[in-house]
Amino acid sequence: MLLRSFSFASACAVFGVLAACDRGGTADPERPSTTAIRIASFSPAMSATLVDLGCESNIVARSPWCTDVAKSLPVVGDFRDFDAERILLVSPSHIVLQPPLSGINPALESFAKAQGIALVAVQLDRMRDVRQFVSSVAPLASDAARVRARLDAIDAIPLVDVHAPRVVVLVSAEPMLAAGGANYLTDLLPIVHLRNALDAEGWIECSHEALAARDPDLLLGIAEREESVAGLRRALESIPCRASRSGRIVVVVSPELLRPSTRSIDAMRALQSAIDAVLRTTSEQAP
Amino acid sequence: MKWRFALLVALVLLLALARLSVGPHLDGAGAMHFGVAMPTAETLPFRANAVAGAAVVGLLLGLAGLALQALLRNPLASPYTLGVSSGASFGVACVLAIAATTGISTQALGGEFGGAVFGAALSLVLVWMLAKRATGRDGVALALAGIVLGGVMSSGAMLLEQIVPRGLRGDLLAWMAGRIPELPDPSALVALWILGVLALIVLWKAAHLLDLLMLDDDEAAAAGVRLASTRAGLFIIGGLLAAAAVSFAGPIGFVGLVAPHTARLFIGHRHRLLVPSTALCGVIVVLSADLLRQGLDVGTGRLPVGVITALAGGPFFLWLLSRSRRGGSEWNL
Repeated sequence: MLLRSFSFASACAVFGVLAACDRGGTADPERPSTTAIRIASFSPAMSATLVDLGCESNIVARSPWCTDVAKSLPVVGDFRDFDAERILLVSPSHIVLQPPLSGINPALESFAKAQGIALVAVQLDRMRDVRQFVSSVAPLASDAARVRARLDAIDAIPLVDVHAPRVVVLVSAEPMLAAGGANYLTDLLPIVHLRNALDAEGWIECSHEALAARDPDLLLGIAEREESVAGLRRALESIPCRASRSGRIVVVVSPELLRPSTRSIDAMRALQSAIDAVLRTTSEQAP
Repeated sequence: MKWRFALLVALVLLLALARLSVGPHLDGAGAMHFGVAMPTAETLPFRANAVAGAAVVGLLLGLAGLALQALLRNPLASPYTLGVSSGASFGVACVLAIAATTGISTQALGGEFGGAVFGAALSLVLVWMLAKRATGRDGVALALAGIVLGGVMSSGAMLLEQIVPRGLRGDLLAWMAGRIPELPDPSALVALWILGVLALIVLWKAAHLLDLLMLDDDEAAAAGVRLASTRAGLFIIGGLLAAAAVSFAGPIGFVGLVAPHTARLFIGHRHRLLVPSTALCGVIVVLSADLLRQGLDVGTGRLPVGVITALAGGPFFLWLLSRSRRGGSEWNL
C-alpha cells in the first residue's frame, strides 16, 4: 500500500511538474517542452494508454510485451530486468513501469537516479489506477479533448448492480486463471450489466469445481489471440454449472481487455451485443 | 602444456576485450543494432562490471565443480549436485513468500541475494549432516544426500511459488534464469573476487592432495592423505564457492560441469595446472555466454546468461569431447 501510494505520488509529482511547465500560452525556454520528453515504457498497459492519448511519438523504447507501439522501437527492459546500455543509447527522460509486488528493482532505481531519468512506477490494478495514470500523463498529450474524454469515460463507468447477472471471467485455460474482485475487469463489468461471481482479490487460479461452486449466470472467456479461443471455450464448457449446461458462454479475442488501459472501456463496451445475444438466446430456450 | 595454458589466458583476455567492445548502437534512423561498438565513458562502467561479474562467476563455478568432482570422484558432479542451486532457489522463494504474507519488503529481508545465501547455506549444512548420519560423509552419501535434498528444496520452492500472489511468481523464475548484473553491489563483487582468488590459491596449494584423492581410499590413505579432513575441506570450498556464485548471479548451470572437463581435455589430469586451467575455463564459458548475450538481440531484451551457457556450451562441449575421443585422448576423471 505504501509503495503504491509512493508510486502514485511520484507519478503525480513528476508529471505535475511537466503540467505546470506546459500551461500558459508562451513557451518558457527554461522549462522542458513535451517534445523533449522521451519515454521508455516497461509496461504494455501504460504503452496502450499513452498511445491512446496520442503520445506515441514520445515513446522511444519499450518492453518485449508492448504490442501497441512500433515493433522497431528497441526493447530495453521490463518490470523485472533492464539493459542499462540500451537505455543509455535511447536516452529517455522517463521510464514508466508497473512494478512487481516485490517492488521496483533497486538496481533500476539507482541507475535511473544516477542518470537523471525520472522513474514513474504505478501499479495498474483497478480502473481508478488507470485514471490516476491518465491524469499524470495528461500534460504529454497534444489533444486535451481526448484526454478529457478518456477521463470522463472512466468516471462514467457505472457502479456494480448487486442484481446484475454474475459472471466468471476466465483469461487463461491452463492454468484456469480468472479475474477476481479487486481487478480492473471487475470494475469494467458493470458496463455490460454484469458483476463478478468471484470475490478474492487479483487474479485467481481456480479449479473447475471451485468455479462451479460459484454457479455463475454467465461464463466469459477473454483471449489474447484467435488460437487461444478453442482452449478457453473447452475450459469454460467443462465447468459443471448451469451456465455451461445452458450454453451461456461467451469467448472473445480482445487483447485490449487483458491490459488495464483507457482502451479497455471501449473493448468491454464492444462485448455488449455478444453477451446480450447469448443471454437472450438461452432465456428463450428456457422452459 | 604450458603453451596450452598460455592459450587459455590469451583467450580470457581476448574475450574480456571483446566483451568491452561489443554492444548496442543506433543507426541514423534511430534503429538499434548489435555488434562492435566501442565503449563510451558512460557505457564503459557497465561493460567493465559485466566482465568482472562474469569472470568471477565463471571462476567460482569452475573451481566449485573441480572441488566437488574430486570430492565425489564422479565426473557428473557439479556445484548443483549438493543441492546448492535448489537451496538458493528455496531461499529466494522464502523471502518472496514472507514478504508477500507479512507485508515486509523483500529488501528488508535481505532481498533475493540474502535469500539465496541463506538457502544455499542451509542446503549445505543439511547435506553434510544427512551424509554423516548415513555412511560417514563418503562421496556416494554426499551425492545422494545432495540430490535428494535438492529435490525436496525444489519442491519446497515450487510450493512457495504457488502460495505467493500471482504477481510475484515470475520473480523466482526470472531469478532462476541466471543473470550477470551490470550494476552489481561493488562490495559483493569485491568479496566474490577475494573468495575466488583465495580458493584458487588453496586448491592450487592442495594440488598434490587432489591428485592423490583420485586414487581409491586405501591407496590415498597409504599415501598419507587424511581422507576425512580433506573431504570436509573440499566440501566446504566447493559448497561455499557455488553458494556465492548462485547468490550473486542466480543458478547459471553447466559451467561447473563443463569447465573442469574442458580443462582436463586441454591440460591433462595433474591438478597443479588443472586448478588454474579450470578457473580459466569457467571464466571463458561465462564470458563467452555474456558476450553472446551482449551481441544478440532476439527482440526480448536481455537474454539470461544461464540459458546461453547451456544452449551454446553444451554442443561445444560435445564437439570438444568427440574431437578428443577421435584423437584418442583419455576421458577419465
